[in-house]
Amino acid sequence: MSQTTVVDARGTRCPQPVVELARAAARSPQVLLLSDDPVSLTDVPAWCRLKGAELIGVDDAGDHWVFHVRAGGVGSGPAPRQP
Amino acid sequence: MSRFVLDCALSRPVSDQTAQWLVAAVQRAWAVPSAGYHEGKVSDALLKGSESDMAQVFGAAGCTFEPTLRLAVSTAVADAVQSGVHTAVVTTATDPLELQLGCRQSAASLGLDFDVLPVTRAGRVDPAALAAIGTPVVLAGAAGNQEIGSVQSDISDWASTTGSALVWDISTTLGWAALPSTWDSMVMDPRAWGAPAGACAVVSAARPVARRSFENPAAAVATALCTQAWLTAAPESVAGARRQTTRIRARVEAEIDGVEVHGGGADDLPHILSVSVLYVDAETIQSRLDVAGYAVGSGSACASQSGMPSHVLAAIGGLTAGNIRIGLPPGLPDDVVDAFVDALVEVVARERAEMGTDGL
Repeated sequence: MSQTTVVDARGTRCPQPVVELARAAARSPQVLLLSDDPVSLTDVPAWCRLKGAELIGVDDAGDHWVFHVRAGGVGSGPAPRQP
Repeated sequence: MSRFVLDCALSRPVSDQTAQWLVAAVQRAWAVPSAGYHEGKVSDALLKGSESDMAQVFGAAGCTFEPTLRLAVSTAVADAVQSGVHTAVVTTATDPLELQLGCRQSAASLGLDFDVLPVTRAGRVDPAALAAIGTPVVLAGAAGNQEIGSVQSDISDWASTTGSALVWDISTTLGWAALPSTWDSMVMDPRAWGAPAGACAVVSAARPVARRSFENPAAAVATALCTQAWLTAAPESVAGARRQTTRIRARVEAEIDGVEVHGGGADDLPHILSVSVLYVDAETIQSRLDVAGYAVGSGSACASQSGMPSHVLAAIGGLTAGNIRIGLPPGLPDDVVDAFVDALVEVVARERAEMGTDGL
């Protein structure tokens, strides 16, 4: 199992980038998500919060964004309920 | 097949009674109110009577009608601004776009600054941003949020300390929750309680609003009657809607994984909920529910004309994917609510199965 998975979701639209992030997070503790869907700026942080993952940073690469996600434990059980 | 409109936060189906009032008014008040002959005077008298009715309902000094909420906001702001006193027009990030636009336009035409204040994760104005305002401003905002049901904080102390004027949009709030304790004026789009489109109202607390010419007196007549009828009926609608949003929230959180719900809390408006679901396409959810007989709104990018997600969810850092908006109408039977949640759970499960996103 590799430590970091790079997911290129450019060209796809909501909800696909978050779906691909979730698939990668189930098998890798760190994910780099490439997305050019502006909705990802809202929904990747929201996904991290819902799933107990950590958004380490977001890089603006000009025509897309790179989301650095520490996914540790996302695939191992249900997410904690939000209050 | 039964059909249920559950997108009633900002507009509600027009009742037979209201339709009858509108038809009667259209025939009686067809003439332009400014026409200098008998029929015009009849129209003007009916319009004035409706303005007086609305002012009386709210204990206001005066009322005027405008065709859109945006114009009503502009009128209210222009009325509240005292030149040389107020320096800016401010609103908040979760307020309706029409209200924000009205504020922006009136600030520009009055030569004032314009600002949009950030909000907390609960959708209320950020206290630090409010405290940073030291000069008198006109603050215009929704008393209750149209998507997430949050009720705005009581900021009357801040207003009196800074000498600011408060303009509240009460469209989502009237009848459902207590109106703000302090206001200089209130604006409303009465479609929220089943009035016909086209007669938004501005009521002013201290002095009569400068009366605008209004070309649709029939809509004003039906709106004034409909508003009085809603205020009579509303008190017996609140508990049922509260029980139903609480139940929808509890069932959705128990039966759907990866879901985020806003609204449905004890401090929220009783009838408004926002449900966001991971890994589903909102447009598909919305259209499948539509086919099943339930009309719901959506704040997801894919379901919007602009291609942008809800500015409300974005402002509070909420999940915008797979979003549906629910605004319950008064008097909905409880079994409809349960059948609706059954349909939603089934539609989400089917969509996730088709997309292969089960168990993610």
